[in-house]
Amino acid sequence: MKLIYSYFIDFPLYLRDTLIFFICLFFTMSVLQLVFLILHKMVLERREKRFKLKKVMYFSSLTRNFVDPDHPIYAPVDDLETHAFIDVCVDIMSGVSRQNMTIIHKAVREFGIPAFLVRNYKKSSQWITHYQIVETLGFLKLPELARLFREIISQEIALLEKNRAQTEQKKQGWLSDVHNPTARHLHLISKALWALSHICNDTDFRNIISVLHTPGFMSGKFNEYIFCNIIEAYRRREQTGVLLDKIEELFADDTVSLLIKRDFIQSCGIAHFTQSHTLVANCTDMFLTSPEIKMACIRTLAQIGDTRLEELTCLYLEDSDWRVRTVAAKDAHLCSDGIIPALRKVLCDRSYYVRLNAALSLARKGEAGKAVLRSCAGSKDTYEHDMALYALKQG
Amino acid sequence: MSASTIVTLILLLQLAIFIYFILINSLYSISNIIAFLDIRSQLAISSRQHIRSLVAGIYYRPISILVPAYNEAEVVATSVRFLLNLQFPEYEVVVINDGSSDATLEILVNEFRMVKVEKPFKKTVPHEPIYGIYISPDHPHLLVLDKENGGKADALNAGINVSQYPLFCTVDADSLLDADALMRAAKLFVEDREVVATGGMVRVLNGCRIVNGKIAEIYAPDRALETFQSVEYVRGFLTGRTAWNFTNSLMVISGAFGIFRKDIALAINGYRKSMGEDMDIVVRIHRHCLEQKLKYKIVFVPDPVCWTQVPSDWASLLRQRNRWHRGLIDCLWHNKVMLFNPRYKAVGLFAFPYFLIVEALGPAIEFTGYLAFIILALFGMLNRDMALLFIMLAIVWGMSLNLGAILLDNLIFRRYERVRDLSKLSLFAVLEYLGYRQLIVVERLFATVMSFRKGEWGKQNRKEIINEQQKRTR
Repeated sequence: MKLIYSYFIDFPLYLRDTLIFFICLFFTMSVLQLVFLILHKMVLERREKRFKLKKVMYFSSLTRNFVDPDHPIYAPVDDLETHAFIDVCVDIMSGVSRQNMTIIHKAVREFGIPAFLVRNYKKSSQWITHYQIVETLGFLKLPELARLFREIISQEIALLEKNRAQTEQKKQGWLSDVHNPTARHLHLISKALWALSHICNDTDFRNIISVLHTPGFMSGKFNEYIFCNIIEAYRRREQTGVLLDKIEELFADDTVSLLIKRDFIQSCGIAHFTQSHTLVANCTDMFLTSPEIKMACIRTLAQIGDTRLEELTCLYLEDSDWRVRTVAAKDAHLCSDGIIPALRKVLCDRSYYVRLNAALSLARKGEAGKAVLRSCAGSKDTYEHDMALYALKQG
Repeated sequence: MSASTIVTLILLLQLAIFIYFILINSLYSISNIIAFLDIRSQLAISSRQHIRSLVAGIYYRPISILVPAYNEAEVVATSVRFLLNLQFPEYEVVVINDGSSDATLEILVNEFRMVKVEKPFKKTVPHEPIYGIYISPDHPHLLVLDKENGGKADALNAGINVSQYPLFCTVDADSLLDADALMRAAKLFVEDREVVATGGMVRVLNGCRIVNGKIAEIYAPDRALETFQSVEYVRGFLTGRTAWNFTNSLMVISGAFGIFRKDIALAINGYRKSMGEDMDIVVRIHRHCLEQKLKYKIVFVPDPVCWTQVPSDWASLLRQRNRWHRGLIDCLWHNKVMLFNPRYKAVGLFAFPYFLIVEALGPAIEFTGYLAFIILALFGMLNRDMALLFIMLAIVWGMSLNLGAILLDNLIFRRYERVRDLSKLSLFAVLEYLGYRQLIVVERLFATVMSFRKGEWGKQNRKEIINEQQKRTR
């Protein structure tokens, strides 16, 4: 008790000094933060203004070069100009034609941009910088960078496994919730994989699949994203025939998981890879029992078209899995009028989603479908009645 | 009890409060450092070009945006128009008119040429009856529900039932989203299959200039009260939530902007009727996933931004804070089983106790500290030097934390374009501890006392969102 009295009432000198020290410390920190804030803002503003001007300059010279090949593109002379040039190239690359891509590639190589970025990559020890550089290099889609991306992937996988083993040993109980230090390796692997997928060749095809095959790695959507990039890379090189062979091998390989195959089928549809229609249609015979594959196939065939679409839709409208019936009902409007009786039947399906999609498909089928809906609107079956009315209004 | 015993007790209390103060401020200081490290990495993985390539691609899951609206006639049309212009490949906007007594529904119907339809839907989570569902021929991805008044949680439940996509995003009717906010927040659901909910940063809209449905220029608010709130929002979101994110025990996703996986929301029977429904759903998701031993993540993402109107008068502000605090207490009470329970891991052992001791009981503790000073002074037992130095320490430490948050915001996001705005924010960061904070503490103390009163829609006086070239929102 005496101690408390001595602290609060007598207020010893050392306690006073400690408090004063901390007051001065926080006050100085506040002043420094304020000064830094204002100065940083002013310096940065100037730099950003210059950066924007440089970007405008490079953008105009690059786009002018697209129409007039004699128009010069000035080589960047300092770091600011180099970054501005890279930024412009990356911006343009996302929606550029094959011919203009060649122009950008030529300029990028001529100005030593890949070497500049690789140098920065090696100089930095921070994973954030590594990540940003890999992303920039990925956007540039330069085939000669494949080796670098492969190296990054294998290095990071090794580091990830090592870190995982260490983390497993250290973490116990509730601590397993706390921030995961291995996340940075996962980020880098996924980014390098994405970069590699843009320039994927036959060797990389299997490597990418094997990384995606790692349990718990990213998601199905990520896989689709990567596969779409691969399809685009083969298309750009006009090697779709080779890709079809690769996909066939992949589907026949029992060691590859069904979900990876499903994601590839879906990507064929999303990327409008029309040449793959027979391959996709045949998958329905290869993987008879998998609802995941059935759904992927029907979605893809609806996107790229195939003569077997109607036959499969009819078959899947009677599938035991409601998800398969739903997907079949959703795309049924793409089939001929012959599908209408089957759709009419599933209007009183036990799944709400099947009924809804069947009704909407009937509405999209035009007059023949609407006539069925109108007849159902008078039905005593509440499900059928409600769905028909809703679809008619939507239509 | 003798006077000396009372004084001794008060002194002991004062010591406890002093230790509490040191611990809390140290925790906030550490949060600032964690935020700096964590936000940098988060920003690095979502560059402008990357997001742009995603918007044009397939790397997304479709989202239903739920906009609960109760007497929002002044702002609802503008907000919906902004939401219809978001950069996202596939989404729907579901506005839920929760029995408004003003012209909210009429405005929506007239503005977007809405037509009433009989849309059948599955009532998976409970809510008050729906009078009508409206669709728009001009905007196929807009849906308006007109339902009986039941509160915000009830309106969101109705929206969940009627929505069609696997993710849903809650947005307040008086808030605007950055064009790419949805993509920035939603991409996490695609990258990581364990993510079940994400929340973005909420910033103050007051003072900004809006042109063609986009925030064209970002300024600090004109009024002092709004500027204080700007500082609070930057500090709360940037440092507080990022730090909780770091330990995977984020307990709050703002109701103004949060994205959830619908299957998880349905698994916990949707929103519970509560004043703090935004915190409640997050805590119950934690509880559900930990009880079911599911692998999950609830993530705060600092770069997608939702701009919200903050109260510009004291009465609305105090009402809002009162409601928030009662919501917090209600949520903690409902989930009290999680407190110090190792079954709920970091949430039960760290986050829940923090919210109870610092957020819920904090105002009472802080107020007791002020009161103890007065009592000790009355007894003539107060060492003036000590009291003065202690108050000064509290002020400069708080100032330093506030300035740290603003500096961090400027180092990473650089949202405010003018030096003048940053200086203004810094000034109010310094002034916050000289009166504003104490008033809020008193209101939250009232809220603690009246915490078991029934909840209602907490309405503030809305200002129209001006979407014109030369005007600024006030």
